Amino acid sequence: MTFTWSLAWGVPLNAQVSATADIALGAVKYEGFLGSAAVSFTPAVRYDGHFVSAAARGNYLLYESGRSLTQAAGAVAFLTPPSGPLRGEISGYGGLSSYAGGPVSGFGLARARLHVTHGARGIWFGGGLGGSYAAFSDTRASELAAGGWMLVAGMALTVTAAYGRVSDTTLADLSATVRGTWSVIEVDALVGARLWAERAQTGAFGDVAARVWLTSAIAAQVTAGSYLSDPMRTGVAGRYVAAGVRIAPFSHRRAVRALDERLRSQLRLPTAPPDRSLPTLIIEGAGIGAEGITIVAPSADVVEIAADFTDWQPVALTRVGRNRWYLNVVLAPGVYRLNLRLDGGEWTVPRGLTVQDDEFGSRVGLVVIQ
Amino acid sequence: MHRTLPAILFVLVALTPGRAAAQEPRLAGRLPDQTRRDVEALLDSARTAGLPTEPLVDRALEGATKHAPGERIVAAVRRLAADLAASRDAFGAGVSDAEIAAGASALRAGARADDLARLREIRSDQPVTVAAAVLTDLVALGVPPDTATAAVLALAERAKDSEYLAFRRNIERDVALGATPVAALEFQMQSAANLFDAGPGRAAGAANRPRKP
Repeated sequence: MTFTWSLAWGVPLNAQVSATADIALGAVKYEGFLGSAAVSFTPAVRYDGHFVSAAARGNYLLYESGRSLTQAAGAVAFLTPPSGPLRGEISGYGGLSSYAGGPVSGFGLARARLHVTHGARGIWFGGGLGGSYAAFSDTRASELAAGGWMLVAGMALTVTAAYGRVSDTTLADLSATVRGTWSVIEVDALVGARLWAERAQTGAFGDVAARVWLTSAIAAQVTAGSYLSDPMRTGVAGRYVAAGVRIAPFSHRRAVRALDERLRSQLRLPTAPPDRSLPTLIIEGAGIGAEGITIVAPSADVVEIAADFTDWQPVALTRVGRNRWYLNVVLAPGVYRLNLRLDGGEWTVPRGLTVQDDEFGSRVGLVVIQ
Repeated sequence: MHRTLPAILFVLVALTPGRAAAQEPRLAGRLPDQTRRDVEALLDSARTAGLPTEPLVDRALEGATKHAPGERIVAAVRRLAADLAASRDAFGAGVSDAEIAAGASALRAGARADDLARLREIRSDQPVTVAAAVLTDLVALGVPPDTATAAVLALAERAKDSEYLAFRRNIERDVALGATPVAALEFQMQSAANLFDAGPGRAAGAANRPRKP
Protein backbone atom coordinates (compact mmCIF):
# COMPACT_ATOMS: atom_id res chain seq x y z
CA MET A 1 0.00 0.00 0.00
CA THR A 2 2.92 2.27 0.45
CA PHE A 3 4.92 3.49 -2.43
CA THR A 4 8.57 3.70 -1.64
CA TRP A 5 10.44 2.39 -4.55
CA SER A 6 13.25 3.25 -6.83
CA LEU A 7 15.41 1.82 -9.52
CA ALA A 8 19.10 2.23 -9.49
CA TRP A 9 21.38 -0.33 -10.99
CA GLY A 10 21.65 -3.83 -12.13
CA VAL A 11 23.74 -6.26 -14.04
CA PRO A 12 21.05 -8.14 -15.87
CA LEU A 13 21.78 -11.66 -16.83
CA ASN A 14 19.62 -11.25 -19.85
CA ALA A 15 17.82 -8.26 -21.26
CA GLN A 16 14.16 -8.53 -20.42
CA VAL A 17 10.90 -6.69 -19.97
CA SER A 18 8.67 -7.44 -17.05
CA ALA A 19 5.33 -6.06 -16.02
CA THR A 20 3.16 -6.59 -12.98
CA ALA A 21 -0.11 -5.27 -11.67
CA ASP A 22 -1.02 -5.52 -7.99
CA ILE A 23 -4.59 -5.22 -6.78
CA ALA A 24 -5.11 -5.19 -3.04
CA LEU A 25 -7.58 -4.48 -0.30
CA GLY A 26 -6.17 -3.35 2.98
CA ALA A 27 -6.09 -0.97 5.88
CA VAL A 28 -3.91 2.08 6.34
CA LYS A 29 -3.22 4.24 9.35
CA TYR A 30 -1.46 7.52 8.77
CA GLU A 31 -0.08 9.65 11.54
CA GLY A 32 -2.72 12.16 12.50
CA PHE A 33 -5.54 10.36 10.72
CA LEU A 34 -8.02 7.70 11.65
CA GLY A 35 -7.45 4.27 10.21
CA SER A 36 -9.11 3.60 6.90
CA ALA A 37 -9.80 0.78 4.52
CA ALA A 38 -8.28 1.27 1.11
CA VAL A 39 -8.16 -0.34 -2.29
CA SER A 40 -4.98 -0.09 -4.29
CA PHE A 41 -4.00 -0.66 -7.87
CA THR A 42 -0.29 -0.72 -8.64
CA PRO A 43 0.88 -1.33 -12.19
CA ALA A 44 4.60 -1.51 -12.88
CA VAL A 45 6.78 -2.11 -15.88
CA ARG A 46 10.53 -2.36 -16.21
CA TYR A 47 13.18 -3.02 -18.79
CA ASP A 48 16.60 -4.36 -18.01
CA GLY A 49 19.24 -4.22 -20.69
CA HIS A 50 22.96 -4.65 -20.59
CA PHE A 51 23.65 -0.95 -20.29
CA VAL A 52 20.28 0.59 -19.55
CA SER A 53 17.60 -0.18 -17.02
CA ALA A 54 14.33 1.69 -16.88
CA ALA A 55 11.17 1.34 -14.92
CA ALA A 56 7.89 3.06 -14.28
CA ARG A 57 5.32 2.46 -11.64
CA GLY A 58 1.94 3.86 -10.73
CA ASN A 59 -0.09 3.59 -7.59
CA TYR A 60 -3.72 4.48 -7.07
CA LEU A 61 -5.14 4.30 -3.55
CA LEU A 62 -8.84 4.78 -2.99
CA TYR A 63 -9.69 5.42 0.67
CA GLU A 64 -12.86 4.68 2.53
CA SER A 65 -13.73 8.36 2.47
CA GLY A 66 -13.83 8.37 -1.32
CA ARG A 67 -10.65 10.42 -1.52
CA SER A 68 -7.69 9.02 -3.37
CA LEU A 69 -3.95 9.19 -3.62
CA THR A 70 -2.36 8.90 -7.06
CA GLN A 71 1.36 8.45 -7.47
CA ALA A 72 3.67 7.73 -10.36
CA ALA A 73 7.40 7.28 -10.46
CA GLY A 74 9.99 6.56 -13.10
CA ALA A 75 13.66 5.71 -13.08
CA VAL A 76 16.38 5.14 -15.59
CA ALA A 77 19.93 3.96 -15.04
CA PHE A 78 22.84 3.99 -17.47
CA LEU A 79 25.67 1.58 -16.86
CA THR A 80 29.24 1.72 -18.04
CA PRO A 81 30.81 -1.39 -19.57
CA PRO A 82 32.58 -3.50 -16.94
CA SER A 83 36.22 -2.68 -16.29
CA GLY A 84 37.44 -5.64 -14.36
CA PRO A 85 35.31 -5.76 -11.20
CA LEU A 86 34.32 -2.09 -11.59
CA ARG A 87 31.25 -0.66 -13.14
CA GLY A 88 29.85 2.86 -13.02
CA GLU A 89 26.28 3.92 -12.95
CA ILE A 90 24.42 7.17 -13.53
CA SER A 91 20.75 7.14 -12.71
CA GLY A 92 17.80 9.43 -12.39
CA TYR A 93 14.71 8.89 -10.34
CA GLY A 94 11.61 11.02 -10.03
CA GLY A 95 7.94 10.95 -9.30
CA LEU A 96 4.68 12.80 -9.07
CA SER A 97 1.92 12.65 -6.50
CA SER A 98 -1.55 14.04 -6.06
CA TYR A 99 -3.81 13.58 -3.06
CA ALA A 100 -7.56 13.74 -3.57
CA GLY A 101 -7.35 15.21 -7.01
CA GLY A 102 -5.38 18.21 -5.85
CA PRO A 103 -2.48 19.77 -7.69
CA VAL A 104 0.56 17.65 -8.30
CA SER A 105 3.77 17.65 -6.31
CA GLY A 106 6.97 16.05 -7.48
CA PHE A 107 10.49 15.04 -6.67
CA GLY A 108 13.64 14.03 -8.49
CA LEU A 109 17.07 12.67 -7.70
CA ALA A 110 20.20 12.14 -9.76
CA ARG A 111 22.71 9.57 -8.56
CA ALA A 112 26.18 8.37 -9.41
CA ARG A 113 27.59 5.11 -8.10
CA LEU A 114 30.59 2.91 -8.46
CA HIS A 115 30.09 -0.82 -8.13
CA VAL A 116 32.66 -3.45 -7.34
CA THR A 117 31.49 -6.98 -7.99
CA HIS A 118 33.09 -10.29 -7.22
CA GLY A 119 31.17 -13.41 -8.06
CA ALA A 120 27.93 -13.56 -6.18
CA ARG A 121 28.66 -10.54 -4.04
CA GLY A 122 29.49 -6.93 -4.46
CA ILE A 123 29.71 -3.52 -2.90
CA TRP A 124 28.94 -0.05 -4.12
CA PHE A 125 29.18 3.54 -3.02
CA GLY A 126 28.02 6.82 -4.43
CA GLY A 127 26.08 9.98 -3.97
CA GLY A 128 23.12 11.88 -5.26
CA LEU A 129 21.57 15.28 -5.54
CA GLY A 130 17.96 16.18 -5.96
CA GLY A 131 14.99 17.99 -4.66
CA SER A 132 11.26 18.12 -4.50
CA TYR A 133 8.48 20.49 -5.26
CA ALA A 134 5.53 20.35 -2.93
CA ALA A 135 2.96 23.05 -2.63
CA PHE A 136 4.86 26.28 -2.71
CA SER A 137 8.12 25.14 -1.27
CA ASP A 138 11.17 23.53 -2.78
CA THR A 139 13.37 21.17 -0.86
CA ARG A 140 16.90 20.21 -1.80
CA ALA A 141 18.32 16.83 -0.93
CA SER A 142 21.67 15.13 -1.11
CA GLU A 143 22.92 11.73 -0.10
CA LEU A 144 26.02 9.67 0.37
CA ALA A 145 25.57 5.95 0.54
CA ALA A 146 27.32 2.64 0.42
CA GLY A 147 26.08 -0.88 0.36
CA GLY A 148 26.75 -4.47 -0.30
CA TRP A 149 24.91 -7.49 -1.59
CA MET A 150 25.34 -11.18 -1.81
CA LEU A 151 23.52 -14.28 -2.88
CA VAL A 152 23.37 -17.05 -0.34
CA ALA A 153 21.20 -20.12 -0.01
CA GLY A 154 18.87 -19.01 -2.75
CA MET A 155 18.32 -15.60 -1.19
CA ALA A 156 19.47 -12.15 -2.17
CA LEU A 157 20.68 -10.15 0.80
CA THR A 158 21.58 -6.48 0.83
CA VAL A 159 22.79 -3.99 3.38
CA THR A 160 22.80 -0.25 2.82
CA ALA A 161 24.14 2.60 4.89
CA ALA A 162 22.99 6.04 3.82
CA TYR A 163 23.76 9.50 5.03
CA GLY A 164 21.28 12.00 3.70
CA ARG A 165 20.48 15.64 3.98
CA VAL A 166 17.04 16.98 3.19
CA SER A 167 16.72 20.70 3.62
CA ASP A 168 18.29 21.33 7.03
CA THR A 169 17.86 17.80 8.35
CA THR A 170 20.60 15.21 8.32
CA LEU A 171 20.01 11.51 8.85
CA ALA A 172 21.84 8.23 8.82
CA ASP A 173 19.93 5.09 7.98
CA LEU A 174 20.95 1.48 7.97
CA SER A 175 18.72 -1.00 6.20
CA ALA A 176 18.78 -4.56 5.01
CA THR A 177 16.66 -6.53 2.61
CA VAL A 178 16.18 -10.14 1.86
CA ARG A 179 14.46 -11.71 -1.06
CA GLY A 180 13.95 -15.39 -1.35
CA THR A 181 12.05 -17.83 -3.49
CA TRP A 182 11.18 -21.33 -2.40
CA SER A 183 9.10 -23.28 -4.89
CA VAL A 184 5.96 -21.18 -5.39
CA ILE A 185 6.58 -18.97 -2.38
CA GLU A 186 8.29 -15.63 -2.72
CA VAL A 187 9.20 -13.28 0.13
CA ASP A 188 10.50 -9.72 0.08
CA ALA A 189 11.39 -8.04 3.33
CA LEU A 190 13.00 -4.82 4.37
CA VAL A 191 14.10 -3.82 7.85
CA GLY A 192 15.75 -0.56 8.62
CA ALA A 193 16.56 1.86 11.36
CA ARG A 194 17.51 5.48 11.63
CA LEU A 195 20.55 5.11 13.81
CA TRP A 196 21.51 8.74 14.01
CA ALA A 197 19.81 11.98 13.17
CA GLU A 198 20.35 15.66 13.63
CA ARG A 199 17.12 17.51 14.20
CA ALA A 200 15.25 14.34 13.42
CA GLN A 201 13.80 11.45 15.29
CA THR A 202 15.30 8.03 15.11
CA GLY A 203 13.16 4.98 14.57
CA ALA A 204 12.63 1.70 12.82
CA PHE A 205 10.87 0.97 9.57
CA GLY A 206 10.20 -2.06 7.50
CA ASP A 207 7.89 -3.96 5.26
CA VAL A 208 7.28 -7.47 4.13
CA ALA A 209 5.52 -8.99 1.15
CA ALA A 210 4.80 -12.70 0.82
CA ARG A 211 3.47 -14.24 -2.38
CA VAL A 212 2.21 -17.64 -3.37
CA TRP A 213 2.20 -18.17 -7.11
CA LEU A 214 -1.04 -19.86 -8.04
CA THR A 215 -0.19 -20.01 -11.73
CA SER A 216 2.82 -18.84 -13.67
CA ALA A 217 1.26 -15.39 -13.92
CA ILE A 218 -0.96 -14.94 -10.87
CA ALA A 219 0.05 -14.81 -7.23
CA ALA A 220 -1.85 -14.23 -4.03
CA GLN A 221 0.05 -11.86 -1.77
CA VAL A 222 -0.10 -10.24 1.61
CA THR A 223 1.87 -7.14 2.50
CA ALA A 224 2.41 -5.16 5.65
CA GLY A 225 4.71 -2.41 6.68
CA SER A 226 5.49 0.60 8.73
CA TYR A 227 7.31 3.60 7.39
CA LEU A 228 8.45 7.00 8.53
CA SER A 229 7.53 10.29 6.94
CA ASP A 230 9.13 11.06 3.65
CA PRO A 231 10.48 14.53 2.96
CA MET A 232 10.95 14.05 -0.75
CA ARG A 233 7.40 12.95 -1.31
CA THR A 234 5.92 14.94 1.57
CA GLY A 235 4.17 11.85 2.89
CA VAL A 236 3.28 11.29 6.50
CA ALA A 237 4.32 8.30 8.56
CA GLY A 238 2.01 5.34 8.44
CA ARG A 239 1.33 1.63 8.73
CA TYR A 240 -0.51 -0.67 6.39
CA VAL A 241 -1.60 -4.22 5.88
CA ALA A 242 -3.13 -5.54 2.69
CA ALA A 243 -4.02 -8.68 0.81
CA GLY A 244 -4.51 -9.08 -2.89
CA VAL A 245 -3.20 -10.51 -6.09
CA ARG A 246 -0.22 -9.89 -8.33
CA ILE A 247 -0.67 -10.39 -12.03
CA ALA A 248 2.58 -10.85 -13.92
CA PRO A 249 1.89 -11.63 -17.55
CA PHE A 250 5.53 -11.89 -18.56
CA SER A 251 7.84 -11.52 -15.62
CA HIS A 252 10.45 -14.05 -14.57
CA ARG A 253 9.23 -14.50 -11.09
CA ARG A 254 11.20 -17.40 -9.78
CA ALA A 255 14.73 -16.44 -10.58
CA VAL A 256 16.54 -14.55 -7.90
CA ARG A 257 18.74 -12.64 -10.21
CA ALA A 258 22.09 -11.27 -9.26
CA LEU A 259 20.74 -7.78 -8.86
CA ASP A 260 17.00 -7.75 -8.98
CA GLU A 261 14.41 -5.18 -8.16
CA ARG A 262 15.23 -5.22 -4.48
CA LEU A 263 18.90 -4.91 -5.08
CA ARG A 264 18.28 -1.92 -7.27
CA SER A 265 16.24 -0.06 -4.74
CA GLN A 266 18.38 0.07 -1.71
CA LEU A 267 18.98 3.69 -1.05
CA ARG A 268 15.84 5.05 0.38
CA LEU A 269 16.15 8.72 1.00
CA PRO A 270 16.06 9.86 4.56
CA THR A 271 12.49 9.42 5.52
CA ALA A 272 11.68 12.03 8.10
CA PRO A 273 10.61 15.41 6.77
CA PRO A 274 12.14 18.46 8.35
CA ASP A 275 8.97 19.63 9.97
CA ARG A 276 8.48 16.28 11.68
CA SER A 277 12.02 16.09 12.82
CA LEU A 278 11.89 19.30 14.74
CA PRO A 279 10.98 19.56 18.38
CA THR A 280 7.28 19.53 19.07
CA LEU A 281 5.68 22.22 21.15
CA ILE A 282 2.70 21.42 23.33
CA ILE A 283 0.68 24.15 24.96
CA GLU A 284 -0.72 23.20 28.33
CA GLY A 285 -4.25 24.55 28.26
CA ALA A 286 -5.77 26.57 31.06
CA GLY A 287 -9.25 27.11 29.72
CA ILE A 288 -8.38 30.63 28.75
CA GLY A 289 -4.77 31.30 27.96
CA ALA A 290 -2.03 28.82 28.74
CA GLU A 291 -0.09 27.82 31.80
CA GLY A 292 2.87 25.90 30.57
CA ILE A 293 4.78 24.81 27.53
CA THR A 294 6.12 21.33 26.96
CA ILE A 295 8.70 20.62 24.32
CA VAL A 296 9.31 17.13 22.99
CA ALA A 297 12.87 17.18 21.73
CA PRO A 298 14.69 13.95 21.02
CA SER A 299 18.44 13.79 21.32
CA ALA A 300 18.82 17.11 23.11
CA ASP A 301 20.65 17.85 26.32
CA VAL A 302 19.70 21.51 26.60
CA VAL A 303 16.51 23.11 25.28
CA GLU A 304 16.14 26.88 25.38
CA ILE A 305 13.29 29.08 24.32
CA ALA A 306 13.35 32.75 23.38
CA ALA A 307 10.01 34.38 22.80
CA ASP A 308 7.88 37.43 23.19
CA PHE A 309 7.00 36.18 26.65
CA THR A 310 10.63 35.87 27.74
CA ASP A 311 11.57 39.32 26.44
CA TRP A 312 13.61 37.32 23.94
CA GLN A 313 16.04 36.25 26.60
CA PRO A 314 16.99 32.59 26.18
CA VAL A 315 15.37 30.58 28.97
CA ALA A 316 16.34 26.98 29.59
CA LEU A 317 13.48 24.54 29.98
CA THR A 318 13.37 21.97 32.75
CA ARG A 319 13.72 18.34 31.80
CA VAL A 320 10.66 16.44 32.97
CA GLY A 321 11.10 13.08 31.27
CA ARG A 322 12.69 11.31 28.39
CA ASN A 323 12.78 13.79 25.53
CA ARG A 324 10.38 16.10 27.36
CA TRP A 325 11.08 19.61 28.58
CA TYR A 326 8.84 22.01 30.42
CA LEU A 327 8.54 25.75 30.94
CA ASN A 328 6.15 27.08 33.53
CA VAL A 329 4.72 30.23 32.00
CA VAL A 330 1.31 31.86 32.08
CA LEU A 331 0.21 33.26 28.74
CA ALA A 332 -2.80 35.42 28.05
CA PRO A 333 -4.72 34.83 24.81
CA GLY A 334 -2.88 36.28 21.87
CA VAL A 335 -0.29 35.60 19.20
CA TYR A 336 3.31 35.05 20.27
CA ARG A 337 6.55 34.69 18.35
CA LEU A 338 9.12 32.20 19.56
CA ASN A 339 12.20 30.22 18.68
CA LEU A 340 13.85 27.17 20.20
CA ARG A 341 17.48 26.28 20.49
CA LEU A 342 18.77 22.77 21.08
CA ASP A 343 22.18 22.28 22.64
CA GLY A 344 23.24 25.83 21.83
CA GLY A 345 22.67 25.39 18.09
CA GLU A 346 20.75 27.58 15.69
CA TRP A 347 17.46 29.14 16.66
CA THR A 348 14.74 27.07 15.07
CA VAL A 349 10.96 26.77 14.94
CA PRO A 350 9.28 23.83 16.65
CA ARG A 351 6.98 21.61 14.72
CA GLY A 352 3.35 22.63 14.52
CA LEU A 353 3.90 26.35 14.54
CA THR A 354 3.44 28.72 11.68
CA VAL A 355 6.81 29.67 10.28
CA GLN A 356 7.46 33.22 9.19
CA ASP A 357 10.39 35.22 7.96
CA ASP A 358 11.54 37.00 11.09
CA GLU A 359 12.93 40.00 9.14
CA PHE A 360 16.32 39.36 10.71
CA GLY A 361 17.48 36.81 8.18
CA SER A 362 16.04 33.79 9.91
CA ARG A 363 12.68 32.23 10.78
CA VAL A 364 10.34 32.56 13.69
CA GLY A 365 7.34 30.56 14.83
CA LEU A 366 3.93 31.96 15.64
CA VAL A 367 1.75 30.38 18.29
CA VAL A 368 -1.84 31.32 18.93
CA ILE A 369 -3.07 31.10 22.50
CA GLN A 370 -6.81 30.91 22.67
CA MET B 1 -3.08 52.26 -0.38
CA HIS B 2 -4.90 51.43 2.81
CA ARG B 3 -1.71 50.08 4.30
CA THR B 4 0.50 52.77 2.88
CA LEU B 5 -1.23 55.76 4.43
CA PRO B 6 -0.91 54.69 8.09
CA ALA B 7 2.68 53.72 7.43
CA ILE B 8 3.53 57.11 5.97
CA LEU B 9 1.78 58.92 8.78
CA PHE B 10 3.56 56.82 11.34
CA VAL B 11 6.96 57.46 9.81
CA LEU B 12 6.29 61.20 9.63
CA VAL B 13 5.32 61.27 13.28
CA ALA B 14 8.29 59.16 14.23
CA LEU B 15 10.69 61.48 12.44
CA THR B 16 9.34 64.66 13.97
CA PRO B 17 12.30 66.38 15.67
CA GLY B 18 12.39 67.43 19.27
CA ARG B 19 10.35 64.57 20.58
CA ALA B 20 11.39 63.38 24.01
CA ALA B 21 11.44 59.60 23.87
CA ALA B 22 10.46 57.73 27.02
CA GLN B 23 12.96 55.16 28.25
CA GLU B 24 12.14 51.48 27.82
CA PRO B 25 14.21 49.74 30.50
CA ARG B 26 14.15 46.36 28.80
CA LEU B 27 16.12 47.75 25.89
CA ALA B 28 18.97 48.84 28.10
CA GLY B 29 22.04 46.78 27.48
CA ARG B 30 20.36 44.83 24.71
CA LEU B 31 20.74 47.30 21.86
CA PRO B 32 23.49 49.65 20.71
CA ASP B 33 22.92 53.20 21.90
CA GLN B 34 21.86 54.67 18.56
CA THR B 35 19.58 51.72 17.81
CA ARG B 36 18.02 52.04 21.21
CA ARG B 37 17.38 55.75 20.69
CA ASP B 38 15.78 55.10 17.30
CA VAL B 39 13.60 52.33 18.69
CA GLU B 40 12.54 54.43 21.66
CA ALA B 41 11.54 57.22 19.30
CA LEU B 42 9.36 54.76 17.46
CA LEU B 43 7.87 53.53 20.72
CA ASP B 44 7.10 57.07 21.73
CA SER B 45 5.36 57.70 18.43
CA ALA B 46 3.38 54.52 18.84
CA ARG B 47 2.24 55.56 22.30
CA THR B 48 1.18 58.92 20.94
CA ALA B 49 -0.76 57.18 18.18
CA GLY B 50 -2.45 54.90 20.71
CA LEU B 51 -0.82 51.77 19.39
CA PRO B 52 0.34 48.85 21.53
CA THR B 53 4.07 49.16 22.18
CA GLU B 54 4.68 45.71 23.62
CA PRO B 55 4.95 44.06 20.20
CA LEU B 56 7.45 46.72 19.16
CA VAL B 57 9.63 46.12 22.20
CA ASP B 58 9.41 42.39 21.59
CA ARG B 59 10.48 42.81 17.98
CA ALA B 60 13.48 44.91 18.96
CA LEU B 61 14.50 42.40 21.61
CA GLU B 62 14.07 39.55 19.15
CA GLY B 63 16.45 41.31 16.77
CA ALA B 64 18.91 41.82 19.58
CA THR B 65 18.81 38.16 20.57
CA LYS B 66 19.41 37.20 16.95
CA HIS B 67 22.31 39.64 16.70
CA ALA B 68 20.69 41.57 13.86
CA PRO B 69 22.33 44.83 12.75
CA GLY B 70 20.89 47.94 14.39
CA GLU B 71 19.45 49.39 11.20
CA ARG B 72 17.69 46.13 10.49
CA ILE B 73 16.14 46.12 13.94
CA VAL B 74 14.94 49.69 13.54
CA ALA B 75 13.51 48.91 10.11
CA ALA B 76 11.65 45.86 11.46
CA VAL B 77 10.21 47.83 14.37
CA ARG B 78 9.18 50.64 12.03
CA ARG B 79 7.46 48.18 9.66
CA LEU B 80 5.65 46.54 12.53
CA ALA B 81 4.51 49.89 13.87
CA ALA B 82 3.09 50.76 10.47
CA ASP B 83 1.34 47.38 10.31
CA LEU B 84 -0.08 47.86 13.79
CA ALA B 85 -1.39 51.25 12.75
CA ALA B 86 -2.97 49.79 9.63
CA SER B 87 -4.44 46.92 11.64
CA ARG B 88 -5.90 49.20 14.27
CA ASP B 89 -7.40 51.43 11.59
CA ALA B 90 -8.89 48.43 9.80
CA PHE B 91 -10.40 46.88 12.90
CA GLY B 92 -11.67 50.18 14.25
CA ALA B 93 -12.34 51.29 17.79
CA GLY B 94 -12.60 48.97 20.77
CA VAL B 95 -10.16 46.40 19.51
CA SER B 96 -7.68 44.76 21.90
CA ASP B 97 -3.91 44.91 21.65
CA ALA B 98 -3.83 41.18 20.85
CA GLU B 99 -6.25 41.70 17.98
CA ILE B 100 -4.20 44.59 16.63
CA ALA B 101 -1.05 42.46 16.76
CA ALA B 102 -2.77 39.52 15.06
CA GLY B 103 -4.10 41.84 12.38
CA ALA B 104 -0.63 43.25 11.81
CA SER B 105 0.70 39.72 11.24
CA ALA B 106 -2.08 39.06 8.75
CA LEU B 107 -1.29 42.26 6.90
CA ARG B 108 2.37 41.34 6.79
CA ALA B 109 1.37 37.94 5.39
CA GLY B 110 -0.54 39.56 2.55
CA ALA B 111 -4.04 40.24 3.77
CA ARG B 112 -5.57 43.58 2.88
CA ALA B 113 -6.85 46.14 5.34
CA ASP B 114 -10.28 45.90 3.74
CA ASP B 115 -10.32 42.18 4.55
CA LEU B 116 -9.55 42.82 8.19
CA ALA B 117 -12.30 45.40 8.33
CA ARG B 118 -14.70 42.88 6.83
CA LEU B 119 -13.58 40.24 9.35
CA ARG B 120 -14.24 42.65 12.23
CA GLU B 121 -17.61 43.47 10.77
CA ILE B 122 -18.67 39.83 10.51
CA ARG B 123 -17.32 38.85 13.94
CA SER B 124 -18.41 41.98 15.68
CA ASP B 125 -19.42 40.10 18.81
CA GLN B 126 -16.22 38.14 19.40
CA PRO B 127 -12.46 38.66 19.23
CA VAL B 128 -10.79 38.32 15.85
CA THR B 129 -7.37 37.36 17.20
CA VAL B 130 -7.60 33.69 16.28
CA ALA B 131 -9.27 34.29 12.92
CA ALA B 132 -6.55 36.74 11.92
CA ALA B 133 -3.86 34.40 13.17
CA VAL B 134 -5.30 31.51 11.17
CA LEU B 135 -5.31 33.69 8.10
CA THR B 136 -1.61 34.32 8.69
CA ASP B 137 -1.06 30.60 9.20
CA LEU B 138 -2.76 29.66 5.97
CA VAL B 139 -0.62 32.05 3.98
CA ALA B 140 2.47 30.71 5.71
CA LEU B 141 1.40 27.19 4.76
CA GLY B 142 1.34 28.25 1.12
CA VAL B 143 -2.25 29.23 0.49
CA PRO B 144 -2.40 32.36 -1.67
CA PRO B 145 -3.43 35.37 0.45
CA ASP B 146 -6.61 36.02 -1.51
CA THR B 147 -7.72 32.40 -1.15
CA ALA B 148 -6.84 32.29 2.53
CA THR B 149 -8.69 35.51 3.18
CA ALA B 150 -11.77 34.28 1.36
CA ALA B 151 -11.77 31.09 3.43
CA VAL B 152 -11.36 32.86 6.76
CA LEU B 153 -14.11 35.30 5.89
CA ALA B 154 -16.39 32.49 4.75
CA LEU B 155 -16.03 30.83 8.16
CA ALA B 156 -16.22 34.05 10.13
CA GLU B 157 -19.93 34.06 10.69
CA ARG B 158 -20.29 30.59 12.20
CA ALA B 159 -16.90 29.27 13.26
CA LYS B 160 -15.79 29.39 16.85
CA ASP B 161 -12.15 30.06 17.63
CA SER B 162 -11.62 26.38 18.41
CA GLU B 163 -13.03 25.49 15.01
CA TYR B 164 -10.73 27.94 13.31
CA LEU B 165 -7.78 26.26 15.00
CA ALA B 166 -9.02 22.79 14.07
CA PHE B 167 -9.54 23.99 10.51
CA ARG B 168 -5.98 25.20 10.34
CA ARG B 169 -4.64 22.01 11.95
CA ASN B 170 -6.50 19.79 9.49
CA ILE B 171 -5.15 21.73 6.53
CA GLU B 172 -1.62 21.33 7.83
CA ARG B 173 -2.24 17.60 8.22
CA ASP B 174 -3.52 17.24 4.68
CA VAL B 175 -0.55 19.16 3.36
CA ALA B 176 1.70 16.75 5.23
CA LEU B 177 -0.07 13.87 3.53
CA GLY B 178 0.73 15.32 0.14
CA ALA B 179 -2.12 17.66 -0.68
CA THR B 180 -1.28 21.09 -1.90
CA PRO B 181 -2.37 23.85 0.46
CA VAL B 182 -5.09 25.00 -1.90
CA ALA B 183 -6.52 21.51 -2.28
CA ALA B 184 -6.36 20.95 1.47
CA LEU B 185 -8.14 24.23 2.01
CA GLU B 186 -10.89 23.24 -0.37
CA PHE B 187 -11.42 19.94 1.43
CA GLN B 188 -11.57 21.57 4.79
CA MET B 189 -13.91 24.25 3.56
CA GLN B 190 -16.18 21.53 2.25
CA SER B 191 -15.96 19.64 5.54
CA ALA B 192 -16.64 22.79 7.50
CA ALA B 193 -19.70 23.53 5.39
CA ASN B 194 -21.03 20.02 6.00
CA LEU B 195 -20.40 20.28 9.72
CA PHE B 196 -22.09 23.64 10.00
CA ASP B 197 -25.03 22.31 8.05
CA ALA B 198 -25.21 19.49 10.59
CA GLY B 199 -25.52 21.95 13.43
CA PRO B 200 -23.22 24.07 15.55
CA GLY B 201 -22.95 21.56 18.36
CA ARG B 202 -21.67 18.85 16.08
CA ALA B 203 -19.34 21.20 14.28
CA ALA B 204 -17.41 22.09 17.39
CA GLY B 205 -16.78 18.50 18.40
CA ALA B 206 -16.25 16.95 15.01
CA ALA B 207 -13.81 19.57 13.81
CA ASN B 208 -11.37 18.58 16.55
CA ARG B 209 -11.47 14.86 15.89
CA PRO B 210 -9.07 13.11 13.52
CA ARG B 211 -10.66 12.07 10.26
CA LYS B 212 -10.07 9.38 7.73
CA PRO B 213 -7.63 10.10 4.89
